[in-house]
Amino acid sequence: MMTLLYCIYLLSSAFSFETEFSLRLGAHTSLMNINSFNELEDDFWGGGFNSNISWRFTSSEWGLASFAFFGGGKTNLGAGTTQVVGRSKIRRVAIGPFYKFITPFKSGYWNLYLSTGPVWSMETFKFSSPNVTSGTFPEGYKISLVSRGAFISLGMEKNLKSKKNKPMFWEIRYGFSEAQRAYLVNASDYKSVITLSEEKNRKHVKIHTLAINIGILLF
Amino acid sequence: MRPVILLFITVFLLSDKLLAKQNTNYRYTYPERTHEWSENFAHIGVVYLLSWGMYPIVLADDIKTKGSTENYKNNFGKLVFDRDEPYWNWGIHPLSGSMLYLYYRTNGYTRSSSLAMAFVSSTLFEFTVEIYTEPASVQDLYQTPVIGSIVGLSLETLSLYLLNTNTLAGRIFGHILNPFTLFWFYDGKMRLTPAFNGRQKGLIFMAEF
Repeated sequence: MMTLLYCIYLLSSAFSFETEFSLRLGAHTSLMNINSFNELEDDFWGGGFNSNISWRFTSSEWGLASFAFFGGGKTNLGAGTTQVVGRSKIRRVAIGPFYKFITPFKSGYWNLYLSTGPVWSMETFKFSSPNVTSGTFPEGYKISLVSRGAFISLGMEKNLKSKKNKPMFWEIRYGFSEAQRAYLVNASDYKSVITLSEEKNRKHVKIHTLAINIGILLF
Repeated sequence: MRPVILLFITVFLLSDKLLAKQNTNYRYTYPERTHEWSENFAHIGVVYLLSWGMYPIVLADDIKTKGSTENYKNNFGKLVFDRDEPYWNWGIHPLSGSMLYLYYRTNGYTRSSSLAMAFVSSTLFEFTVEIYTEPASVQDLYQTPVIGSIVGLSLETLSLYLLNTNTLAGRIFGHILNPFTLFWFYDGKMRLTPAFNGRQKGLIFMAEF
């Protein structure tokens, strides 16, 4: 319902304030840390890309953002009766609304801004040669977490008169999430993923991310 | 392998025709204009009806195995994180979103407005069409219009560049990248006009590409 209202707002506003509605695209390099089941701290290095659409007012913006992270590392995770330890590749997608405050601090054309917002994310772990400590984990199986958290970022963006000049931005971003649910999935058929088990109450799995992000305003 | 070799030989033999400059001063672009609210609703309506028509064709297997009115009722209003593989979330959905974006661009909407219209169209699809088989997905709601618009912007830029090379090969690939440039709503490049001459009645079809 909120999404539909936001779309109607976008639709009504886009035609009267077109130049203040923006789409940005960026790339980032990140470190993700998972405090997992056995309280081992697992680091995942990687990177990815992100995008956001926003509505700009005089000194603030409201919008929706997405952050995609691809990385690798070692971890100990489980879902249901299955517990797995080993190196894995991770694919993480975080989506959420954000508020951006454009501060009066400037350095030349560059304006300092602060951005924050809640985040809902999904992390999917694909293990290679895992050590299965309980349950079964054949090839094609993956573990997915659904998490909830927030982020804060500090950055600078070029303050240009027109969007057509495609201003650039860079920022440092910190995010924190708590896993809500864990799923064991059979993804051996890439067109149709089957959920085998679901486990609620995974709040002991906490995810921290630190990213350096650089990007451009497309339109 | 043989069809590929044949294709290369054909392209090589026709290369002088494919790459020869054509004698035209026409410049392809995306003419932008304002739209009445009735036009906006008409476009959204057309896209919505097309999505109802195409969904059973494209996802016939899913509809057989997972689709039902019971599912439709249960999934209505639900929002989840889907566990689909990148084939869907990074492939099919952004590609669909790019087609939505390009449809609105060739109908005279600005880039921002095309993104907003694509957002509305894909949200309507997620919440009222796809729920026949699965609940609305957070990733799809965002990635279809937003990543789709980014892909659409790339296709738009490349398509315009190729179309404006004024070569046959450029025109062919430029239209393939954005098929909506072949339709009547793009800058009058295709026209269907009724003709009446006493006893004879008919339609005149004219296309320029």
